[in-house]
Amino acid sequence: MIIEQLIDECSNHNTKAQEQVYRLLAPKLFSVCLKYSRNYEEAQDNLQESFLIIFDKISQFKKTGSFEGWAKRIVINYVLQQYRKQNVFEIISENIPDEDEIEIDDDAISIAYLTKIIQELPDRYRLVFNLYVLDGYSHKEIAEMLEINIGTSKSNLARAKAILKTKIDVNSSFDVKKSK
Amino acid sequence: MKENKNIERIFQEKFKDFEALPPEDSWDFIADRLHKKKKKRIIPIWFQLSGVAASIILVGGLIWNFTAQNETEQLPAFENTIVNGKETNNNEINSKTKFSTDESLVYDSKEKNNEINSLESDQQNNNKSKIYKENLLNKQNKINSGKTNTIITYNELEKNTDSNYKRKKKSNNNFKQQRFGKENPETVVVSNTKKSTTKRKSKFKSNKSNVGFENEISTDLIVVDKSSKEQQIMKNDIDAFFEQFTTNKTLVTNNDFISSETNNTNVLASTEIISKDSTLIAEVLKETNPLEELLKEKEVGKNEDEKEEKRSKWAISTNASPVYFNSLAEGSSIDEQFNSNSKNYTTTLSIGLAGSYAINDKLSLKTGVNSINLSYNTNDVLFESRMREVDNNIPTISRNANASNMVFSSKNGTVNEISGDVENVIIDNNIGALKQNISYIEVPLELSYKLIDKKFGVEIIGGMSTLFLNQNNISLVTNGLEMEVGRANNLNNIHFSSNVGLGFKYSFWKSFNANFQPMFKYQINTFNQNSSNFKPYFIGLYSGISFSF
Repeated sequence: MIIEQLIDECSNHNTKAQEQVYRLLAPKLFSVCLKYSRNYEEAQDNLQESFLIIFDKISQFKKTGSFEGWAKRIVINYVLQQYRKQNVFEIISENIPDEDEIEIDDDAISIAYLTKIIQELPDRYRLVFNLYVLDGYSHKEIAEMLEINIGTSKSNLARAKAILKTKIDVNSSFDVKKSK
Repeated sequence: MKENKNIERIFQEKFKDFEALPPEDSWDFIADRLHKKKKKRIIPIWFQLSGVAASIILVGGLIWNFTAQNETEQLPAFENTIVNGKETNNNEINSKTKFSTDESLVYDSKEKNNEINSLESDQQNNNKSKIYKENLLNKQNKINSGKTNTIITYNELEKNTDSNYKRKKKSNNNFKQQRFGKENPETVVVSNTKKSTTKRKSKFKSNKSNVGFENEISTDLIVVDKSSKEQQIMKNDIDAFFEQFTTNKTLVTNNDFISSETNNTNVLASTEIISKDSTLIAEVLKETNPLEELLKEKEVGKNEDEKEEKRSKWAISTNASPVYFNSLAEGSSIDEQFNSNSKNYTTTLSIGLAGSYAINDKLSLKTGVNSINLSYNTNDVLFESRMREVDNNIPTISRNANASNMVFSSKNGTVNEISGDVENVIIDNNIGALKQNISYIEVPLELSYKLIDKKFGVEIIGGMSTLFLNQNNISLVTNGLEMEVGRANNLNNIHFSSNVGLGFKYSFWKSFNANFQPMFKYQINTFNQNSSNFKPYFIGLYSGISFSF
């Protein structure tokens, strides 16, 4: 009820309402930006640009669905626009290991470190990894969104996971060494 | 607790409820931009008004011009109204110039703002470490004041990304090394470890690459190297490491090493391999760097392009067109008796200037001035020249002195009775054509909607034109000779046409476009009376060049 009133007010360019919507959504959307962007600064830029789009198009939001979901899609679309054009330096690798299992101390690994290593991934690996693993898109959907083949999406994901796994391995061994 | 976990699940679990507060100034920035947007929306209204004002001035000026030309023809009352109109026009000019200076002021300040912004962002880049310090201080304050864990999280995150960012760039940029001196305590610690590792590394004569990631590994190894007890762990590390980077050769050598005894030389050799391997990673990472930079440059270029596109709201164009004049219904503008006579419509030329203003991305308003000639011949006209003045038998033609003793009739019509009067004998060979020549100044006011707007563009155009009668004469053409006989008195001084058409453009160089616009213009209210079902229209194939700014 309240959120719908807020949305109406936003359509009328009411600054107070816009700020409330911002306060409501910003933490969730900024986490999306952090995951999809190259670093903190770009995440901030992307968040700001996305909010401008959200306020511009808020009158088009049909109140049947989730407002948060709608806003999140706008953020993801915007971020994809920013990064999808880059051609990833494709490594022609014969066999990417299928081994996804990793020995890990769950508490030792921080979300900050995970975010960092996601951000360090090449653009398209990062997008594919985020879309598939964290936001539940299928390879088919990702292929359409990024204008690539389904096969490319799959191999990008495997590559991304391999890189992430290595970094987690290195990190946890570093922890072991520290603890001893 | 260590346990085996799927890598996807690790991330899914960790990020399930991940929220992060953006920096405080984010909202201010957004609010600022939203405010600017609102302001921006107001400006086009003034532009539109000034456009309307401009066209009124144009129309007024033209009317005034014509009245000056045809003074004797005009009624005094008409002139008065025109003079009034002119005065109001002047007022409008004044107000308009005010608007435009205002606008330019707004524009200037805006541009300055932009410049300042970009300057600021530059400075941000340069003094990143400074700002970073402040940020760090702020953030630490926040932690002290006891905010939630999430804040700490991205504080860490910022540290990580920032220091990492610096390390990455260090290898290829000079000015970053200058910045190195200013670095905050955190990164100084990092760089210290870095130094120690490089010292160690020189022992191993390993690679010189400075990428942070490698350093991490190297420190790792050196520490491991120190305590020989932990060689087992190290071996595990190497195993895990090489699983990921399956370059055949190194894998083989690696396996060899693992199978052999673990002594110091082994460690040495494997360190080399690892450093080689990490150089591989480093290279991959480096490889993306120039790409990223290129992309950034491109994006910057694009942004500039977009800005330019946004700015080029105005366009002026020249155009020239063959004009195909015709009538929808069989009829004659001269007299009913010529309705069934065959008519030759001459293809003439129209030239003009146009200006357009883009209201938004799709719609633009266009106006201009065209000069246009229309002409057609009514064939099979029987003419007689009498010895003395005769009554005018065609009321729509005001005959001039030359033609005051001529009568015209259609050959198809009833043959004139031949009287016995010698003076009135019809001269032989007296069949010719009546040529009506009309020229107008056309002021179109059209709205165009872009269907395709790329290098090649298509738009649909609709609107109306106001046509001011400029020249008007009727002449008799016979045996290749042409004699002006008078002028049509049934033409309105001002009439309108409704226009529809298509526009094609091709931008061949910078802001220059080549245009081609086939237009159909149906004329309304051309004649005040006696037009006997003559429904004129013309088709113009306007082509020209436009320049947008």
